[in-house]
Amino acid sequence: MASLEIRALTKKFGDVTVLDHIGLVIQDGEFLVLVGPSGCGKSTLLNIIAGLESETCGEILIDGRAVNDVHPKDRDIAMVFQSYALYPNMTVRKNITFGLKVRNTPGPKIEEMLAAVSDLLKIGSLLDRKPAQLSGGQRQRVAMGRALVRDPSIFLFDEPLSNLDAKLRVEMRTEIKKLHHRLGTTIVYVTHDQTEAMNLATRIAVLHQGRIQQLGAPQHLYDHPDNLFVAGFIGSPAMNLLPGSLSSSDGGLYFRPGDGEDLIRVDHYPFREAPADGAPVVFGIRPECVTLPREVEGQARFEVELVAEAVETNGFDKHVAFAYGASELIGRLPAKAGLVAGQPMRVGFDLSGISIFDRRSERRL
Amino acid sequence: MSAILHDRFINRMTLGRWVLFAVLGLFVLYYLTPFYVMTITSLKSLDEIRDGAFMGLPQSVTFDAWGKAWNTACVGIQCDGLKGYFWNSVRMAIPAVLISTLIGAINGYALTKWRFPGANLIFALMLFGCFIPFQVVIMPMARLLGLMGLAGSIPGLVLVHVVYGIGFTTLFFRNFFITVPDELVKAATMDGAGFMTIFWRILLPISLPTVVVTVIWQFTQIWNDFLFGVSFSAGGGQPITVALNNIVNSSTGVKEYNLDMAAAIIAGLPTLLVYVVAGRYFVRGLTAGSVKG
Repeated sequence: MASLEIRALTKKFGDVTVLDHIGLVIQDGEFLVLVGPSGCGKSTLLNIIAGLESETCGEILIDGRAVNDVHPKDRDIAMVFQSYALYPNMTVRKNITFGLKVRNTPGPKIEEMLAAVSDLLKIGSLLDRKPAQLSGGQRQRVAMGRALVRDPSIFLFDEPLSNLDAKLRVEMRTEIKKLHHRLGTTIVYVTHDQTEAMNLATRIAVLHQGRIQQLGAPQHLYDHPDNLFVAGFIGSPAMNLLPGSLSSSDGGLYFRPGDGEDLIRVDHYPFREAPADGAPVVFGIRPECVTLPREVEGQARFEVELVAEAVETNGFDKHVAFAYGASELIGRLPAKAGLVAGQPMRVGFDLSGISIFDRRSERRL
Repeated sequence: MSAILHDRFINRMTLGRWVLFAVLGLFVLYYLTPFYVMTITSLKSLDEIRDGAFMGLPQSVTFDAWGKAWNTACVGIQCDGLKGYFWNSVRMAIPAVLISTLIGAINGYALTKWRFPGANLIFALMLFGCFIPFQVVIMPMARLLGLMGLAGSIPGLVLVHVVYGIGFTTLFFRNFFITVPDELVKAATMDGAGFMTIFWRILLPISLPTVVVTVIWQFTQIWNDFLFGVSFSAGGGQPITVALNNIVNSSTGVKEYNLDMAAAIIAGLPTLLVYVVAGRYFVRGLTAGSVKG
């Protein structure tokens, strides 16, 4: 077990800056998920932590010791790859013990560690098979076994579930979560799937254009996204983002959607600094806060008549697309709500959990 | 309904198969006829050959010509048969094939998995080496071998064939290793394996079909080579191709067709054997990587 610190890490490929002054402190035993769209540099960051790629500048510290010049094999890190990267010519047994043999671990010790790992991952019956004879889920387990067997102080996962089908992915997600609880090892996990990130992480770092957009607990990122990118990236369906402006009248502060006459009261919103009157903003509201008026509790509410344009049924609720001025607004309504596409209906906004962003800087106000 | 479809399918297949087999059979005949004539001629006595039944089976089978070709045929003024030259070729071909294949494998591995600045340029130059005609390198090669003290020796020939073969072997292995995911090497690096451990324990074992292709290719090239053999060896140190030429092209005495045929078959047998033993890997290796597994 170990802590990991990354200081002002920058990586350039020629003129392209892939990672730009990344700073991260990962505590011992933490499950940190790096999430972001393809090409945001998250895999590169993971490879640099592993030592498989070199940084342009910056520092990586494991337990306070700089490891920039330490060879990958001596960093006490194990990694699980997206393609699993099992050695095709070796049996499962040899795949798992390869790292131990290369490090000259004594034979009895190897057997003992192999037995422990195959018990833990329930792969005892597969030990004499070759990777080609395994299913996707089994390969995934073996790949984790190969990482686990060395008992490293840090685990790196590079999109380990993206090659599995949806059902298996959910299963393995739970397994990984359990494994983390059991072993308590520090984990850095890369994914482009925000649901996976939300489910697994103790903290999430959202990466975009080579920078960390926000770092925090999953719920905090969901409730208080720092900027428009994070607001749009975390959550499914995505947060509704309405452009408009702030205006104060009658002693109250209101949001006015860009092309509408509606005034949505936002007095209660904890502005980080006092906003200017008429400031151009983006108003963010989660789909679950757009629902039937009777579902909205509390004072911070707003009601409006909207036309449902499309309805998607999920079983436990319905996702409804409303036309609101020039924007589209997604709402989550109870499964039993009787509504007809094309018909106007009353819709309530729960304003207790809204986010407001500056339209120019795209930052949270 | 499905039974009818099934029957039609079978019928069409059968008709198509007949045509296919007929065409293939024709090709087989076309290719095997010379070999057939060589074989039966080598088993006839010289008298029978003079009687003129060119395609007919021998009236009495005799291995005299084979024995003579191996033991007592005259190559130039030496009358010790082909055996010494056969072993010359073995001593030249085996090390040359193994060394060039191994170097090609390491080159291909380094060029794809440990990319360094200029790797593409080096590969391009090696590829260029494949297209240089033999004749162009003979003079400089002769000079170099002389300077190295390897002129006219079998190690000299081994060196020539290794150098000339590296371009091809590197190409084969590079094209295979480029299809192997880099993550495999990364995983092994994390596991603690170094450059050579990864090569010996993982990449070389999975490239077995490519090894077979390369060995067949190199063996055929080197065993059958005449030009380098005739240029860089002398007297008793010549490879079998040169000796065969010297037997067949001798212009004195009676033309012993049965002896010539036996000698030619002896000279060709090893490559034939390599194809028969490893042939099925050959096609598999040539197409490896072109189809996703």
